[in-house]
Amino acid sequence: MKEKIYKILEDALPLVDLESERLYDELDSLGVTTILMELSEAFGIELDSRDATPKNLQSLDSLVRLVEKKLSGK
Amino acid sequence: MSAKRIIDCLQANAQRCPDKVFIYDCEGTLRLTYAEFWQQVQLRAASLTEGGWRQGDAMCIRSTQSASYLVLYFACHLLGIIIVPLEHDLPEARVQDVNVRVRVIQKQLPGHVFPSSVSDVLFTSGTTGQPKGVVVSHQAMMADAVNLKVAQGFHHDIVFIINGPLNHAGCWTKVLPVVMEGGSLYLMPGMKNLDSFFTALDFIRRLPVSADTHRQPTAAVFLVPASIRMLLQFSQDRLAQYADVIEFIETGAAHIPHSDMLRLCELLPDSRLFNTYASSETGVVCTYNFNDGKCLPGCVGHPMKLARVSLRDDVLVCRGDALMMGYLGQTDFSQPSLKEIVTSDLGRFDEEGRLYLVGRQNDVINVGGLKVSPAEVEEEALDIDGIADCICVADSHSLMGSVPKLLVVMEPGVLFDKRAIAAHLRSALEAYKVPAKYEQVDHIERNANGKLNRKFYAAQ
Repeated sequence: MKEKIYKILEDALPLVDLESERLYDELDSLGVTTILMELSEAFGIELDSRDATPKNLQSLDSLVRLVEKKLSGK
Repeated sequence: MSAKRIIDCLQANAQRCPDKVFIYDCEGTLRLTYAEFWQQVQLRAASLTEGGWRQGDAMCIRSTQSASYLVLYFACHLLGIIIVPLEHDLPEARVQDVNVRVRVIQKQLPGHVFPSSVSDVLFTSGTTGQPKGVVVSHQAMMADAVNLKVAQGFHHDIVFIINGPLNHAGCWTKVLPVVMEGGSLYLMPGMKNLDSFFTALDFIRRLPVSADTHRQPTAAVFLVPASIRMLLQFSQDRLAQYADVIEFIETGAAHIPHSDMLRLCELLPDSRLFNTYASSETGVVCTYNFNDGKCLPGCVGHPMKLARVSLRDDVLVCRGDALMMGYLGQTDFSQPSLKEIVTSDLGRFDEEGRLYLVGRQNDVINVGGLKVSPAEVEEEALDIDGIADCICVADSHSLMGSVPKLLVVMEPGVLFDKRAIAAHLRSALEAYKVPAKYEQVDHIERNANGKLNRKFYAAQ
């Protein structure tokens, strides 16, 4: 799952260090929205603005947890 | 109104409505009344004078959505110092470049100072490589304030949410009518955290009825079409819940899809929803409330009070008091504004005199309202070792409309590393100018004169 998310976002966000433990700090508004859009499309889940929190976007690991939570809630 | 400058309006408000809150910052935890703000401006001005700044000097400042930035801005104006607001993340080397460019011009002027008629120098991307400095007078700033106040209905109880860079016309021009009317600003760092936008609306909804006017404060905001798209895609249900507190939304700087316009009208049936045509060079020119039952796509309405617009071979020609004085290095300082500006925008009028934007003449890439010159990106990219040739083209994007994409020809034997190229460009350019996409190609199409064949790539 982590590798899949990395590959999806690597192309879409060439300026962002996806392995950072402070991923949220690296992002601007376009970056945040890109992550929401790409993950929604790739995994067939619904993400909205309430999910775009610093905690959920802190790192790749937290993105994995977010996606797994959404998938298990379906 | 006898005030000739926005700083005069600010000073008048410190007397007229001293206890009225001018700025809410940090989610409302910081509040500055007009009297408090004015006091801070005066103190800052005193420290600038001690630091050797004098009337007619020009100061380059990184622009942030903060009370401290606004204090510095108005302190400069109090002393007659010209402001050169820059992108907050502009690399330091570029800040110094701008500084040098401005100082070279200043040294050529009588007394080595800018005239007192000059307010700001705004840097904007054009067709050619380097951004140009747009010299704006105090008269133009006041004209923008009057235009917006009359056309959009700014008043004393508006709380305008500033959620974007104050070195761009979209947000900056709104500060002017707020100050003119003694309204309030709510400062937020940006739209990265969409939740904070709703926090702002909650905060404004909870404000008490005004003791002066007995009116309930209402919210207004400028949102580029990309921000509207974000809100509609990820929070449209929440947006509808604030229909009672949003008095108006203004958009502009880029094309807004008609579907987004229609959806906004449905969600906010009683709010004024403006699509505006403006630029650093022309000031605010036209605006159209598309929540009028007609919701006309591409329409930017009638010229505002102090603006005039005509068409010359389908190209927009603007006149009026809000026009720039000229580009830095090409300015006639004896006049507060140019007589007319022939823009790069194409338009048409309908039978009721409403203006519609139909396209642009030049190659500038519009990234969610921010203009990117392909030539500027290409110049920086060609400085990178290993890149033999390149072209920066517009790639469509569902949110931003367009984003820059760099096609690259590498030198033989050199590895194509897009992250390294992006990082290098980021060290030289503002973040929004750095291409989001990269592609290695065998060659770049050029015409018989050797110039980049942009039409070829635009047709792809």
